[in-house]
Amino acid sequence: MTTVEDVITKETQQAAHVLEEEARKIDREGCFPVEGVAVLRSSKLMGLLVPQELGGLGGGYSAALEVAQVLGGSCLSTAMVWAMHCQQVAVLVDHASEPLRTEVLRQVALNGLLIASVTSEPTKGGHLLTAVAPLYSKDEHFIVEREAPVVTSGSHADAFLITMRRSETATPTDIVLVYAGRDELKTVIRSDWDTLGVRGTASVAMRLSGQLPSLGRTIDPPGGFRRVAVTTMIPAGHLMWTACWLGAAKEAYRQTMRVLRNPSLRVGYPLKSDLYVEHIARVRMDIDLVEAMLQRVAGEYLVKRQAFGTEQVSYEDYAFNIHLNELKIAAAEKLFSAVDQTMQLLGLRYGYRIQKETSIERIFRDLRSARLMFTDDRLLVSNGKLALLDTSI
Amino acid sequence: MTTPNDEFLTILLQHLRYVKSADEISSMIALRDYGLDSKEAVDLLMDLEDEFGVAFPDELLTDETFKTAQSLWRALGIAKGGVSA
Repeated sequence: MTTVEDVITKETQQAAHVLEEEARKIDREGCFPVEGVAVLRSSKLMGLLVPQELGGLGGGYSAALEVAQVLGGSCLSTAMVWAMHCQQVAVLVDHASEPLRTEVLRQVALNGLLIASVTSEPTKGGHLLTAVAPLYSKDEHFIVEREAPVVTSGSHADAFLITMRRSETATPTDIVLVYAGRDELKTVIRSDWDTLGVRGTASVAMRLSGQLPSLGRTIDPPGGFRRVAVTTMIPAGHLMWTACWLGAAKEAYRQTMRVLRNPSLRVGYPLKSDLYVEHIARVRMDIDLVEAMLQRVAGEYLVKRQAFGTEQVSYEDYAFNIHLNELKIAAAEKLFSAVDQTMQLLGLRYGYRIQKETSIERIFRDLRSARLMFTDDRLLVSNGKLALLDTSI
Repeated sequence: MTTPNDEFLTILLQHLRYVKSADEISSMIALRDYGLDSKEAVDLLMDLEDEFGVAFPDELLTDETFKTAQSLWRALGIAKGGVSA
């Protein structure tokens, strides 16, 4: 009998192969991974987190984190597109009300609907828990007029989850999440995505505008957007991103080992130097530390989900939030530094140069984005303040 | 089963700090007892690979492979694509 795990493993391997084939091209041309996303759409992986009764795999977070690592090792851009889609799916699974929940999640599971996240705004940057643009109400409709400086997959997504200030008179922290199909909005790409790394994520600046029926379009559980963010969006984001980055760093490590273990490629590398192998040890240690941390924080999250569902108060404790932030910060720093070190180990020949034995220079550029996404600076300030409150450790 | 050749024994000897001459190496002595710890084993592996122009496949990178001169010689044969004894 074929289990869900078998399906996930098989489809992940097939997808990973396509992603890998396309990775160099999308990096060179800075274009969206059309083939990679097409294979993900036609697989069941877009609906990995969608419950089985809605046609999804119902795979759960442990499986999602495994898949993210494999995809991240093949092409970090495509993996991030998929991971951020999964984050939106997780939000819908946990917080959308009917009939929106069923309708959208069925589309995800059956047709591979790709959902993008719209949370950034020009004047507030990436701060998740505030919103500037208000949702205007007119008769039975909402009017959306929204600028967003960074929307991953923005030019290719089929639908959007958009944070909006509840009304013109609401405070910036009174946020509702709005679901909109691409065909319901007018979308204008304000600037393209021509960057150092993760060049395939099409994280464009865009304007979204249009009218939506006001009934059933908001994801607005008791506790509001903060509940969505703390119980699902932030944990899912930090865990999934970390898994993607970890997969990419592991790939750099594997490639490095393939070169150093190959007698015809390793000529000239000082493998008998203690200093040289110490550097190898540090690369391995940094990767293993992040993996251990990912398992630990994922475990904490899953225990909470099992015990408390999406009950907000259970996710507000200081230690859990410190750990979630630490995971993202440590992964971004340690994994980039590990890949930087693999480049140092392999030097110009197989590290810095574009050649066919490794893709370390691309992974290096891709992983540099990790510290900038949901920027570490803000998370460190947040953790510093939380640490003053959580003195028990 | 073939017998380890001189080239192999010369390389092996360089990694056994408690053996003075190749004559002391019997095919069956426990290499660990003669100074082949895991760190030394990696250096030996690299030397054998470089000298014989082969790469040991991952499945041969076990304690068993590095147990005796004979087991290591046999593994080298497999790595070279030769017939295992």
